[in-house]
Amino acid sequence: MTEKKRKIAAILACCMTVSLLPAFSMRAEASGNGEEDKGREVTLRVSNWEEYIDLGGWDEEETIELDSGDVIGERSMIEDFKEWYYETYGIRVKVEYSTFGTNEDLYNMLTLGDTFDLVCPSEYMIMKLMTENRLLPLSEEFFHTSDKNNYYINGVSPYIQSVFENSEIDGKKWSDYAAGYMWGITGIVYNPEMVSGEEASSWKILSDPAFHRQITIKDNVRDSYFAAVGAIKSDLLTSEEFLNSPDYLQNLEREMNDTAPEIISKVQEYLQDVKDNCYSFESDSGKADMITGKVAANYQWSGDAVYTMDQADEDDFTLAFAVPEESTNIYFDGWVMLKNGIGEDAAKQHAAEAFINFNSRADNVIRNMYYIGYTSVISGGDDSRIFEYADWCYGAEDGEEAVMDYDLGYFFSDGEEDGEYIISAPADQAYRQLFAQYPTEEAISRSSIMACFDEEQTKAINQMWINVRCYNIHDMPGWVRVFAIAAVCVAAGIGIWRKKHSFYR
Amino acid sequence: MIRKIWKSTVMTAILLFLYLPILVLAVYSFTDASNIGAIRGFSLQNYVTLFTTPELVRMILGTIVLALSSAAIATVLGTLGAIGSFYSKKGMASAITTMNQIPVVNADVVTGFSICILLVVVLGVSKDTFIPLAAGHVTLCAPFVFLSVIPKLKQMDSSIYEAALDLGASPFTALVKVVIPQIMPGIVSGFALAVTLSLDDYFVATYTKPATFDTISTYVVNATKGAQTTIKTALWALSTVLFLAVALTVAVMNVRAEKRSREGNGV
Repeated sequence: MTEKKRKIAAILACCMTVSLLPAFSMRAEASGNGEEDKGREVTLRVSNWEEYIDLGGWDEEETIELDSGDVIGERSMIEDFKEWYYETYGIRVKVEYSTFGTNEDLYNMLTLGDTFDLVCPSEYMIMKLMTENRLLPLSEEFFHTSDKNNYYINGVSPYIQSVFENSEIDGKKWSDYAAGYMWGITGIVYNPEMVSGEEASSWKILSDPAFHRQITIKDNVRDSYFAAVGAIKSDLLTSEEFLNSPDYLQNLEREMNDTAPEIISKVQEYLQDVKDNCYSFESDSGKADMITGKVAANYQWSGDAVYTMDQADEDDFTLAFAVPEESTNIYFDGWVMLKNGIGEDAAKQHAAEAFINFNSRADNVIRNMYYIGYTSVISGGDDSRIFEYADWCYGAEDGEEAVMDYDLGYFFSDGEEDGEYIISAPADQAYRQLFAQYPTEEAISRSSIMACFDEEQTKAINQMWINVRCYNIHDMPGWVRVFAIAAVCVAAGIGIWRKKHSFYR
Repeated sequence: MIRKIWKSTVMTAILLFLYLPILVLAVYSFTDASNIGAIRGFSLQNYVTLFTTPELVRMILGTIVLALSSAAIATVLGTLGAIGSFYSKKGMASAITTMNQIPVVNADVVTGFSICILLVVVLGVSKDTFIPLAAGHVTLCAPFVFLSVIPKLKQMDSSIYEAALDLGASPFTALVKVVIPQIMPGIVSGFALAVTLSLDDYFVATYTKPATFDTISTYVVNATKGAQTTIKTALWALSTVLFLAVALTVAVMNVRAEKRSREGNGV
């Protein structure tokens, strides 16, 4: 009897152990590598976009050979960071790295019990987190240019830094809270055989009946809203008077972030037209549809545009990229530190800032850019390798015929030396990968940030989006509604009658 | 005749609808294409990536361990619940059965979200302990174990249990020796169902999982949103492997069931 009891107890114990296994294995893994130096180990919880950092494992032949040395990603950036941090500061750091799918997913995770130290959302989510007072400002030491390990402040593009310094929300400057990571603009990827560059250079292409069912547009409210505002205000935005106004940039930003009720209703009307005209609202299929030639044009972010064109090139299928004349949305993803993760822990904050700096070191920037395909906000400062990388990617081969000079001074130089940052590239790169990776100063001059809307504006815009994306019941003619109600009544009546009938039988 | 043709056409169309998308993925998983589009050549690269990338391997193993362990707990709880309700008074039994229906009928989002609110936000349990995740999956699976055990209990010949008691067995011995062997098929199928449900779940896991842990479903959702390259195509290989594993299991089970019924007829 007792033996049997023992047996059962053993089985139950087994079940319990099995159930706890995942917890144990994860714990064990987590505490495995820092045993010997427990007191000095820092844990850093980082959350980033999926596939948004170099995970290493490159082949030998993928080595990027630059004048200032080769760059190759053998191990993942996170492993390299751990080693570098220990070598530089003598402190072991453990990185708990995780990923998120959208800004909103990240926001939900933060609200529902997950704590992170360092995250990398887009600019509007950074602004939202700033207004909610959830972010920890970057430390003063982070901005000391004398420390050579401060790769971020020594390497960030002067242009991007000026944007971060000039943008504020609730009186707080972006640059105090966020360190940029990747950036880009929105535009149109198009098939030059079917669409002319001129046609693709206006947001109005989205509703152009000439491309009925041949254009895809982003399936998210912010991108669609921006494009629609650009299209409805096209005449104003391209007028001489508006362009030559001394307050052009402020005006542009105000116009592109206009959420007046009449504008919202116009946007709704416009997007409903777009919905009838376009091939689909997509969130990921747009790239594949472009590459396979299924559609003629696709509203795209510049980083993904580069990828689309690269992939199409492999099939000898030429695509191009255009930035609309009206305005383009410039966007950033940036590192921010969270109060509920870091708190008062100075060691943690130091590790978090070091993580940003390590990812801003020129060779690591190149690794990340190569792996992700987006454009880093880092121009390298005194380190010329990032410019060399751009030249390595897009510079013309010797003896190539149609070559043009492509000036990237606005991004790489701090305005003193002119003409130093010019790539001589094949002429078609002026509207292809190079243009998408590093847009011209002219295209950038028309760029506007998209603000973080407040609650009321968000509500109005979301309602507009629901009206566009879902079937709009108010559009149904009266007789359809009457007919539908009648049909339901009849069906219910028949049901009741049959039930009664079957009772008597 | 026409009816026959009509019938087979409809069947073919339905099967095509069901299996064509999976077949497309399976075919593409053996190529080096990075999009569903032009195929350049045959390659096993996706399978190599799938089984050599530590992140992917950890995610797959984690999902399997989670499924097996939460199914084990759910099986124990569900079986005990079913036996308890079977031997309870009628009012009690129907109350338990009704309560058991709620998680079954309830949307997964609601289950996941409420567990997250209760355990994480109100009680302050850290997601890193895996307790909310395990609790969520057990809540998801246990009712189904209960439902698959109850019919076996009803079919059971209750006089054997009474005979065991009359012959001097303690209720506990009788339970282990007499009742459980009789309802074993129900327990096994309940366990299998629980494993499938846990593997299948997305909503409960998103609300309750630790940030650094991913199940196959949560991982795939993230990967399709941001990704562009190797990992995404490796997931085609994963889909193919999963599909083959399931197809094989079903085939084996069907063959065995057929064999058994044939043997039964022979006797």
